[in-house]
Amino acid sequence: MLRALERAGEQSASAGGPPGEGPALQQTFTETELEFLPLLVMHARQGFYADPIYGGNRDRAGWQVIGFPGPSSLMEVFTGRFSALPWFAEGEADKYREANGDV
Amino acid sequence: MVTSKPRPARADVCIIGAGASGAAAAKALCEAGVNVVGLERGPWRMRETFGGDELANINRYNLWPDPLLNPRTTRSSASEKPRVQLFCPVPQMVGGGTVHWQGWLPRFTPEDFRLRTVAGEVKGASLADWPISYDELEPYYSKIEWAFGVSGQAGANKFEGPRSQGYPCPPLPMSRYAEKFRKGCDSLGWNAFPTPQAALSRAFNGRRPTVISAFAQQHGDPTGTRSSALNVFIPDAIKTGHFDLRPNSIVRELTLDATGAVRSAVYEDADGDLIEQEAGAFVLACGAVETARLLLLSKSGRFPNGLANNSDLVGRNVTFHEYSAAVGLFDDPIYAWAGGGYVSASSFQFYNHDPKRGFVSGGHLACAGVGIPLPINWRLPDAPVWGAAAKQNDRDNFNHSMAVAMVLHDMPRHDNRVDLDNEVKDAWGMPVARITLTPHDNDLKQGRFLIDRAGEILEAAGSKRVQKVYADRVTGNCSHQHGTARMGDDPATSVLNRDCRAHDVANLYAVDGSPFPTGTGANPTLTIMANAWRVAETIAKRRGAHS
Repeated sequence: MLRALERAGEQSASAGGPPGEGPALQQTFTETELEFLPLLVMHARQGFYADPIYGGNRDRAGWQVIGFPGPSSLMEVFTGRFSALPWFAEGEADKYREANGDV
Repeated sequence: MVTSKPRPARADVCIIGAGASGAAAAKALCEAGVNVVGLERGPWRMRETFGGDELANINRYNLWPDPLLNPRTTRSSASEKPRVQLFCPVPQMVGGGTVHWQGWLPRFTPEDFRLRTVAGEVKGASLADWPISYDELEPYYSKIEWAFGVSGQAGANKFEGPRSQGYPCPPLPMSRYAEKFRKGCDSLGWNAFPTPQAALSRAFNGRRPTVISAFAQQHGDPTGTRSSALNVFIPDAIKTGHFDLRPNSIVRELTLDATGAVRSAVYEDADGDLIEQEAGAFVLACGAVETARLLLLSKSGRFPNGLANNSDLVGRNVTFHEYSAAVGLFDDPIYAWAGGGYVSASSFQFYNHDPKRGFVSGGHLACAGVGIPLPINWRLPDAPVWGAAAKQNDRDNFNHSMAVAMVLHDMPRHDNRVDLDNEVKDAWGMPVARITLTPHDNDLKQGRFLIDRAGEILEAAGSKRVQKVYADRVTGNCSHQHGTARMGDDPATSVLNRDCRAHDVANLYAVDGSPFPTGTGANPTLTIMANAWRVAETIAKRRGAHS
């Protein structure tokens, strides 16, 4: 059905689901408000992009295709070892390390 | 109806709500030696219970109120049928909204406290000056910045009022999206500054630096290193030995004594039993929506329209801000998920009122990730949402997109209000808050102007494609809420006096956003906490009068 819809060019933002639709900084949404197709799309995204601990995104394939260097495991986030500083502006991670040591 | 459980001892002060304002008030009161009971409707979660992943936090209602248990209703006018909506939610738990935020903590400007004088009357709006000035609040801004732990650069926002102290910590490291924002502002000649944040860039006050993660905005903090009410002010208050904090305690009403003062808060505990807590003074810190709701639920012979509501102003003049943004794509990667998308840079260039613009006031501009800039929930406006085109869009743009967002200063209006819904009840059988809201034309004009400026910043920073998303209504997407119990000097036009004490009730205070006569164009929580501290000092001084 999706392929057929895609061929028919019936893409529209109204089939969306994730926050981002409507106000560009929508922070909340409730799945209970979604109709079948948007809910299906939303759950497909969740399967592909959620932490691998849920069984999808195997070998972090979903993250790799979009270039998200997620944590190697949730434990890294939990303990604070996962840091996004290397993806800050040039030199910022080094400056931070100089000031604070390895945090 | 009240159970056989032993009646708890009378407290000096009972604070209802343990979020930003309740925790700040509790800290200030307890450190002054006042015995405080805190009643919080939600759980008291420990950091060990906060997982670090997007699915649990963003998509599974981990922290937001459950919309089935705690609904609200909205409508755009009194003639319209209200519909159930999770409008302007804030986490209902110990720590409140500070549990899941990243805490942009700019100060309001001196002009914010006297906008009615500066801008004059605005037709269709109920603009009012604050009864207090920036200078009166300034010492409390400093107290909060130092006690809570805020990282920022004093003097960098050239529109800020005078400050008695700098920040305790230098700004957080610069994200790539903040770098773009600053580049854009620099080339336009507009002032920009590192967004002051509820985080530690250095070890401070016995706490270690904040972990800079990607799972931050709207995620609980498993490391306990962010500056939040849960991590800082609640433990500070507990440490004094004067704070008895009771989570899972849902206050149903406030009762009066023979003199017309509040006698007790009647609450339902985790067992479903009703308990009556007496105190010398009562402090509402439930958030502006729930504070109004609790006042309106507390009807009595003396106050048939709700407690402290002789003026019929409880719930009225509510303001919510609105976030919207211009979204830009860049050739080079920005990694707007780094730091959760909110380790940002800001501008107050279009914050203060300028009559030449043709509308009143203005708002805070700052950069951010687009929506929740993590793999599941990131999305560009109008982008395809499924199929090959959606996948290609994810690949091409996930790391190359950012937003420049505004905080809209929406105008207060007499008919924009919170009251009780006639039909919908929460899981505890109490009528829910009903929000009636029509934006003022000024909101739409100001919003368009700010989003146009946001787009110019992105273009000046070298964005190859800019999409502007104008706000055509107020959706409550900021979780900011103010105005439902305005403070003022005249009991005919305000609910609370300048000390945030009810004109009509001698021992009743509110310290969340409800006293704010105007919402301003900036994130409110720093000012909410500063004001709560100010009010707490007043209560501590008046302690004799309340007992």
